[in-house]
Parts: sequence; structure tokens; C-alpha cells
Amino acid sequence: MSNSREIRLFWFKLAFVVTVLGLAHLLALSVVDGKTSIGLAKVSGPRQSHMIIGTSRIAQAVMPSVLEKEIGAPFLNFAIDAATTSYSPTYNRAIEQKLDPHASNGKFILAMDPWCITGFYHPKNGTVMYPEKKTPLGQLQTFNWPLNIEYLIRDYHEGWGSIILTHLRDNSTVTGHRDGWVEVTRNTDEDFVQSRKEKKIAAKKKEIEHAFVSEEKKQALYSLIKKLKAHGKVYLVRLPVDPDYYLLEEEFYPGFQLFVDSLVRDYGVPFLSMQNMTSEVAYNDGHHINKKYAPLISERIAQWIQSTP
Amino acid sequence: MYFHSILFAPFLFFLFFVYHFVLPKTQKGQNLLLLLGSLAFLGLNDLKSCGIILITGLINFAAVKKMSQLAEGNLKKYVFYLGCAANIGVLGYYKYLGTLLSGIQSIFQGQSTNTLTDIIIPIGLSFYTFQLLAYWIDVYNEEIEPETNPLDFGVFILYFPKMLSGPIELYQKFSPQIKLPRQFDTALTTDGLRQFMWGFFKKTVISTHCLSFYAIAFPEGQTHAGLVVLLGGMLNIIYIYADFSGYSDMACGLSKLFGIRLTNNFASPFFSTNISEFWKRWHVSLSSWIMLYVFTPLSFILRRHNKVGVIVSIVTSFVLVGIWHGATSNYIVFGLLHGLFFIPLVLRGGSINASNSSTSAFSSSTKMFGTFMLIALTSLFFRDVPVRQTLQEITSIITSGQLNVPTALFHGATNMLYWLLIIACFVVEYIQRRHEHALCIAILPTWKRWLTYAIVLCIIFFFSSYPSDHFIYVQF
Repeated sequence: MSNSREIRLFWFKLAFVVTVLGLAHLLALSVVDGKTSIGLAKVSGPRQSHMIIGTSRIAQAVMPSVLEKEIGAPFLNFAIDAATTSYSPTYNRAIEQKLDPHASNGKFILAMDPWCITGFYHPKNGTVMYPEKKTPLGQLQTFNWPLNIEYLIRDYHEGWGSIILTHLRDNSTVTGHRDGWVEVTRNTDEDFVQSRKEKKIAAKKKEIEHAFVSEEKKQALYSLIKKLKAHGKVYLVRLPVDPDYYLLEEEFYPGFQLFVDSLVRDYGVPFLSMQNMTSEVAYNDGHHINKKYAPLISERIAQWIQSTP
Repeated sequence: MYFHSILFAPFLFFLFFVYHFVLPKTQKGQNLLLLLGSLAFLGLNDLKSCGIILITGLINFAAVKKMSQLAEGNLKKYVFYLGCAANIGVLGYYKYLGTLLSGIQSIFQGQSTNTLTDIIIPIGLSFYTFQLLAYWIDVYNEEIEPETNPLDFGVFILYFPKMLSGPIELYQKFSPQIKLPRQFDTALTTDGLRQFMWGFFKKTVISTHCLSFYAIAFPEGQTHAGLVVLLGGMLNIIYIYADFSGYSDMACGLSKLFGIRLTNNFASPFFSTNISEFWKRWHVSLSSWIMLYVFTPLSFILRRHNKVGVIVSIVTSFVLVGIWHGATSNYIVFGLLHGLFFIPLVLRGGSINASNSSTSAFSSSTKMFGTFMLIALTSLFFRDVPVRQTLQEITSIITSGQLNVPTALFHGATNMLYWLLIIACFVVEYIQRRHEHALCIAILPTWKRWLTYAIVLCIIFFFSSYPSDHFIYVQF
């Protein structure tokens, strides 16, 4: 048993350690930037009227800054990756939380490719998996804080001291911009690109063994389009990919174009396929566009939006 | 909500503060708070597990009490067998039935479509069941009196620091500590915080970086050959150790904050000079349990068979250790091998409990290294790959002759720093091996203590990582 002096000293020491740790964490918070987390800017800040929606492909290819310059509307790129932001009720909930409920003249660019509506079976027991529910975005309660600490806590899996180290280092290959664009810097030597493409295609082929076109995800997409149409115009875009990768997509879901046609017909939304641009651009891995071509892609989309009645 | 999650900090602080500084220091009040806190902790982790454990706990409490009131005879014996069987049955249903049925199904149908593999094992069930089994056995053998207070019994089985992954506590060791009011003891609390900090360091720095190195050296879905298998085994066992002993240090440290000492589950096991010594230092609460409730009675039954009896008892005990981890062939082979490693010790005629204290430093080091390598290689059976593949990989260390250690493991200043931290961790553990934990530094001058805190906290702040939200042993 301790006497009161010892207890007071104990509390003093504990308070000292907690205060120092608290200050160190505050310091880390003060230097949080796009190198800390690519999703953080997307879930921080006010609700939005114009959004880019989809998976990592569109997260890296469409730059809101270019769209704003061309169209005059400030967009938020709200796409993260296939595990988190392929169409699903979970993603729809996040979009709803981020969407300005008073927006009436919004513009919404939705990525269209088979992976956006692909579900997966558990490789061992064959049950349908819902990985998006376990992602930081899927579990998030707050979407509009100036700096979303809740997201940071859920998404950042390292000691917060490494936020400071990452901030000081200048060799980050992935940066999330304030407007949500994800800038990925990769070695563009042909050998590296080819090797990454081969690996990506091999990994995708393996993934496909347990994948299926999900009716549930299609339903989520329908409901998202309906919801967004009430707030403005919806634009469907299929981004270009390497021809080998395109072939893989066609093999996986041969009826994809028919599905898109049905969306255009049933919901009256315009669709732009950019696959004919494949020779004009370069890729990091056959799937994600090289960042040098993101302005070009964004510009073409902006021009198409402006020319679409 | 695990010990290293951010949400746990306010939960712990609230409980600690109320426990010592708000509640009157009565045994009943403190136990009630511990029980409610434990239920909240378990419920926040998994509500279903909380329900199952609470219900089975209440049934066990009533049943053991009833059994103890019965006169000696067949009825008492049947109730005892039934109680033990029921507990093993619950464990078997959740932990083994799915694996067993899908195994049978895959033999007959080629593939398994068994939905029982989806059954989620309640958190800490294996640890919890072994505690209850020991309680049943000890009450039946009249080694202890049954608990009559449901509140105290609830604390015994649900106490949150040991709920996720043990240690497996015996009633006779745990119970006396909660029978009296606990006073706030700054020395014990500070020691608990130090132990927690060291566990946190091992879990979030050493274990996670070992795992990432392991993933580079041993990519999933491939069969490996050559020297890399040796490295893979070493990284795997260090990862398991850092993760599990990190958890155990955190659990013991936390418990000290509430004035309760738990069994220290690890005592620098990698500095053992033979397999027997290793098992006295590795997962101590499980190996002691097996020693008490399996090996000792079995070797007594087989005592007429001399060394053969001892060997059979040891091998059976270790196969059971393997099965405790899971019903797959990997774990059974793991247990079997560890049992077989004891045979030379038994045949040599020395006591299996003997450790070599009189040998030279060189000889000890060689033996330590040999024991470590043996443990490292058998740890490869802990992976989710077929036994045949693991055996093939281990054999390839000698047969393939490949010196194929990936250079990526040693590229860059960051990786070198992580290697340095791993080495530093074991140097500290070696220096402190005779102490309860590596940060037993109460006798050091104040500045040295604070310098140590600063270094460990800085390492955690800058280099910790939390790739997964769980401890490896939670699955068991």
C-alpha cells in the first residue's frame, strides 16, 4: 500500500508522460498531409455538390483541378479502391454523407468497369464477402470534419510519429491531394511497366477464380444513380486500360457493354467509353493510368461533359 | 478493442481510476467493477462470445457447486465426467467440428462446402475452457473448495486482461487475490505499466516488422527451398513470440494495475539450452496445465513401463498441445515433433526437468542456438500450408543447397533499423532474462529509468505498426 505522497508523485509522473505523448501526437496531427493517407482529404471538409465516384482507376486518372478549370465546378474525387469503393450500399452511405443535400445542379462522374460491380466468394467456404464493410470508410461515422481524426485513427496503421517522418521525407510514391486526386509516381521504364502489368494481370486472373458479377452491387449502382439524379446530372465513364487488361475484363464479363447500354436506356444517363484512347496514354501497370496522362483524361471528360446536353 | 487499440486507453483509464480512487475499497465493490468492466470489454469485442461465456460460466458455477455437495460415489463421478465432457463438447463444437467435417467432406467429395467452418469461435474459448476443466478436476479431487460467490467466480473466468489469450489461470492461484480488498500500490502499478510498455513494444514494433520481413522472405502460395526456409522459420518463430509474449506482457502489466498478478507466460524461452527448458519458459501457463492435468496422471498410470511410459506420456501431452491450437494435421505434427524431441533427453536418463547450468558458455550458446533452430523450423507447421509441403521445405535446406536469401530484406536504412531493433529487443531480454520481464528496472537510478522510458516510447511513437487488429493467439 502506498502513502498519499507516493500516490501524488505517481499521478504527477503519469500526467507528465501522458502530456508529452499528447503533445507529440498533436505535433503529428499538425503535419498531416496527402502523404499520410490518400483517403483522408476525401472524408475531411464540407459536403460536396460535384463528385467523382468509382475505384482506384478513376481516383488516379481524373483530376478535379482540371475539371474545375474546364467546367468551373469544384469536384471532389471520392474514389479510393475496389475493396472500399466498388458500388455497394456501404459506399452509397458514404456518398450520401458527403453529398450536399441541397445540391440541385451537381455533376457526378461514375466509373464504369466490370470491377466496380464485382463481388467475391470466400475462397475457403464459398460465402459472399463484403470487404467494404470492414474498411475505414465502411466503418466511418463522421465525414465532414475539417480534419477527419476518426478516419485517421481507423486508416493509419502506424505510430503517429511516422506521420512526422513521412512528412519530412520527400520520397513518397503515393500522395492524396486535397481535392481527392491520388497521385501515384511509378518508375516508367518499359521493363518495369511490363513486369507490373504481367503481375497485375496474373493477380487479377487469380482473383477472378472467386469473383462474380454481383447483382447486389448492380442494385447499389441503380439506387446511387437514382439518388444522384435528384441532385444533378450523372455521367458514366469507362476509362482506358491496356488492351490485354481490356481483354481480361471482356472475358470476365462479356455482357458488360449490354449492361451499360441498359443503364443508359433505363436511367437516361450519358456514357463515355475512352478505350479508343488506349494508344494515346501510358499505364503504371496496364490498369492504372500513368499520372502524366491524368490531365489529358480529365480534359477529355470535361469536354465531353460540356458537350453533353 | 484490443490492448493496443486507441479505444482501449480511455476504457482502461476509466476503470483504473474508478477502481482505485472512486469506489470504496471493498472486495465486493472492486470485484463487481472488474466483472462489469470485463463484460463490457468482452461485449465490445464480440457480444456473442460474451453471451456464450456468461451462460456457460453460470452453468459451470452451479454444476461444480452441486457436484461438490454430492457424496463420494458413482453419481459424483458421473457428474464430474459429464461436466468435463460438456466443456470439452462446447470447445469441440466451436473449434473442431467445422474442421473435422470439412476434412471428412473433402476426403469423400473432393472439396468442402461445409458451412460449419463459418462458426466463429468465441474469443478466448480455449483458454477459458482449460481454466474451467482445471477447476472441475481440482474440486472433484478435493484439492480446492468450490467457489460459492458467483461474483468472485465471474471475475475468475471473465477477468478481462486474461480473457483474449490467457494466461490460463488456476483457481487456487487467482482466487486468493480477489478475496481481499486491493490497495493502490504505486510500485506494483508502475511495474505493471513498465511491463505493459515492453509488451506493447514487442507487439507493435518487433512482431509487425518480423511479419513484414517474413512476408518478403516467404511469400504466400509458393513452395520455398534452401537457406531461405531457415530464415523463414526464424522470422516466423520470432514473430509468434513477439506477438504472443507481447500480448502476455500487456495482460500481466494491465492486471498489476488492478493489484492482481497473473502467471508470467514467457521467461526468455529463446535462451533455453534444451527442449525441456524451452517448454518451461514458453507459454508457461499452458505447459504447466498439460504437465499437471495430462502428463502427471498419465505417467503415473504408465509408471510400470519405465522410460517407454514416460515417452508415451510426453508424446501424448504434446500431441494434445498441438490439438489445443487446432484440429488440423499441421498442429498435430507440430505437437508430435515437440514430443519426439524429448526422447533423447529421456533415453539419456536425466530428468526432463533438468537444465544445464554447469556447462561452459560456449557449450551453452551452442545448445541455445541448436534449440532455437529446432523450434524455429517446427514453427513452420504453424502456417496454413500442407504438412507435406512444410516437410519438403525443411528437407530442402540440406538437399537444395540454395543460398537464396532475398536481398530486399537488407535494403535501405529503414530495414536495417528494424533489424537493429529486433536484435536490440533480444539483447535486452537476454540481459534481463532472470527478471519477470525485460523492463524490471526499478533498481536503476532515476535518470536511467527515465531515459529507458523515453527510448522505448520514442521507438513506439515513430516505428510501431498495426497492420492487423488482433493477436495471433486470439484465434486459438
